[in-house]
Amino acid sequence: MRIAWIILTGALVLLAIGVAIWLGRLPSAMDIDEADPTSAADRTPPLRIGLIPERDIFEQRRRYRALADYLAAKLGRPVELVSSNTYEGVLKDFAEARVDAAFLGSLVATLAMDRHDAQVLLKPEVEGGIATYRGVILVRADSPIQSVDDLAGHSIAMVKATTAGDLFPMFEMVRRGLAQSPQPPEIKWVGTHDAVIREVAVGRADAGSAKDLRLDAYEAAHPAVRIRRLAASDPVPNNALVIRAGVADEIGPALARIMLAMDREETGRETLAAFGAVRFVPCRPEEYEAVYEMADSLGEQWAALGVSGPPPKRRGGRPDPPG
Amino acid sequence: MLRRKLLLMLGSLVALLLAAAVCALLLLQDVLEDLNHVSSAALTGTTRTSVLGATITTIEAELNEIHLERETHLDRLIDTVETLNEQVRDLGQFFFIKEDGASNYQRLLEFMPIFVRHVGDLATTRDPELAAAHADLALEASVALRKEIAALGNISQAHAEREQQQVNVKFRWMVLGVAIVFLLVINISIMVLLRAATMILKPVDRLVEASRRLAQEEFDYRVDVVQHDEFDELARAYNGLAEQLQLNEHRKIETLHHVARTLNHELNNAASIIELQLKLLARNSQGEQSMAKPLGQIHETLKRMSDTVNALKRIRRIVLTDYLEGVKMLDLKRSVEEGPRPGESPSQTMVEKNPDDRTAGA
Repeated sequence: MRIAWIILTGALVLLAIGVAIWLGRLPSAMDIDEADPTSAADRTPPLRIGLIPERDIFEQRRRYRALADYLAAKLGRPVELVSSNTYEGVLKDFAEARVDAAFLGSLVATLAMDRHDAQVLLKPEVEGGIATYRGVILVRADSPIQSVDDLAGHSIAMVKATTAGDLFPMFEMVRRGLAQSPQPPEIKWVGTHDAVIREVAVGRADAGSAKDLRLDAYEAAHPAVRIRRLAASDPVPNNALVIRAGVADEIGPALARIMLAMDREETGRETLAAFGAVRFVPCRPEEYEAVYEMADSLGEQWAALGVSGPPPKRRGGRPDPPG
Repeated sequence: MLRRKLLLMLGSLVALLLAAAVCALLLLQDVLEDLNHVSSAALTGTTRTSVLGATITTIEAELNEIHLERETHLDRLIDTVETLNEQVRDLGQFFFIKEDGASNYQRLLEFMPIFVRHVGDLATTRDPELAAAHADLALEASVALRKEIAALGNISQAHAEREQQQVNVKFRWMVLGVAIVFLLVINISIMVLLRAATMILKPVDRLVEASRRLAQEEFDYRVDVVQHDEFDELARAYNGLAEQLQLNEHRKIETLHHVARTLNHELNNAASIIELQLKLLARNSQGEQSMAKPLGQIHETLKRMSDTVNALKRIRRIVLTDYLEGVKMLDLKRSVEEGPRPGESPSQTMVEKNPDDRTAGA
């Protein structure tokens, strides 16, 4: 009789286990993750870093996202990226305190320093110790245009409010009298340096003006495309980190300390590699001298750049060069 | 032993039923999971393709906002494009894509960078002519993407319907299989129960029959039960009892035979003398009529006595009958017969309860 009870109890236990397993495998509405995804770090006000498109905006965002994540981990606060589609947009963001800092090309950096008292802090250095770039006027290798002087009556792709894509080619065109000629070059405003090179490469623009660093990268990626460089500007600082005046003292030292030390630790080096640089180095306003000189030399032709407002002025304590 | 056999049989039956039930549950669970997979896959596949289309629409709307300069930031556009990329990557993980929609998905992957590049250019280009060119190219890529997405949606639907059909077929086979298995189990259960019943009823019938025979004084009847259990022991006990009763009966008959022989010996001598004296009396009476009758009666009585004694020697069994109220005597006529007559009830053939009854009968 005891065996009968053992068998019956065992069978009931097995049945109960089976039912429990079966019920356990049923989909449940309770499987909702109710954990608060917002960490303490996420609840602190984010550091907002502005960007201006200079290349493929999606690829640019990925590069800067890596840097932003690194900074967020180091600062203990979230870092947001704010991409404006125009230089006016980022300058407006500075004015309205919608960004705390921004990576700006040299022309907009000078405008930010001049108009909003922003402080330039750091600039990235790439392989070979290069922390500057030049503007280059380029045509396809098979183009009949042999020099800048031949641009009259031809289309040229330019990037508004950039030194390499706007100030330098306008400076060259003004200097060579092309801008004032009866057949000035037809300007096509594109959005990024990469777009300038692509428009020239596919033949939708006869010439273009862009950053040499982007052209180097394009030529490396497209060896079949042959490009001829007609002119190059003086070097200017690569896209530098500019801090808004109101928060420069608050976040500037911490950012400088973290970013200058990035190349001395493994995670930092990995982030720099993803970003496309080997280190950050200090940047000073004086390094923008070439920009100021080109802007000054434009005179009234400054308006032709399509940049609203007056040209940038050197900061206090540095008198304008004579002439 | 019998209990163990019954437990083994019933335990096996319960285990068999349990195993069949567990197997049926597992199969049902399998089918339920398949059904769940089909419904979720169909829903997810259709939803994902719909969401992809919606994301493209969002990108187009965002581009329009930028074009109209109502939006000066690119973050939402970039985020949406990244979302689109993730959605396309996620879509590639679906089984129906790998199985049926590989070519469409491949074309989708080819159109994606074209679409994304023109979206990026369109969002940043300030030249109206170039913007129009990029808008045309982006629209072309968008249309191509939507076509492939729609095709993938149809493939997802068709795949889900096919899987649904397969699950239906699987479910039908499962129901059929489970029904057959349970029919088998029920048949086996019936056979096992019949076997268990036979195991009990058959020896019980034999023992009942043996008891009846015993009641009818068939002491030579034996029960044949060979199943090594309690019934076996009971049968052996019965057989032992029957043997003992048969032996007792045999002894009683033997004793009666001894008594008969003794009586025969003693009465024969007396009867011979009486017979001789009767013959002398008959000769001396010389045919006198008044003597002839009593002498004849004495002769007849002597003959009856001799017959009774002879009958006692031929007793084969002991059958008692009522002599007086509460007093038994031997039914000599029936006791010399071979066995009980068919239909003779135990009340007619009574085994003596004590030696007095036998003596009284004798």
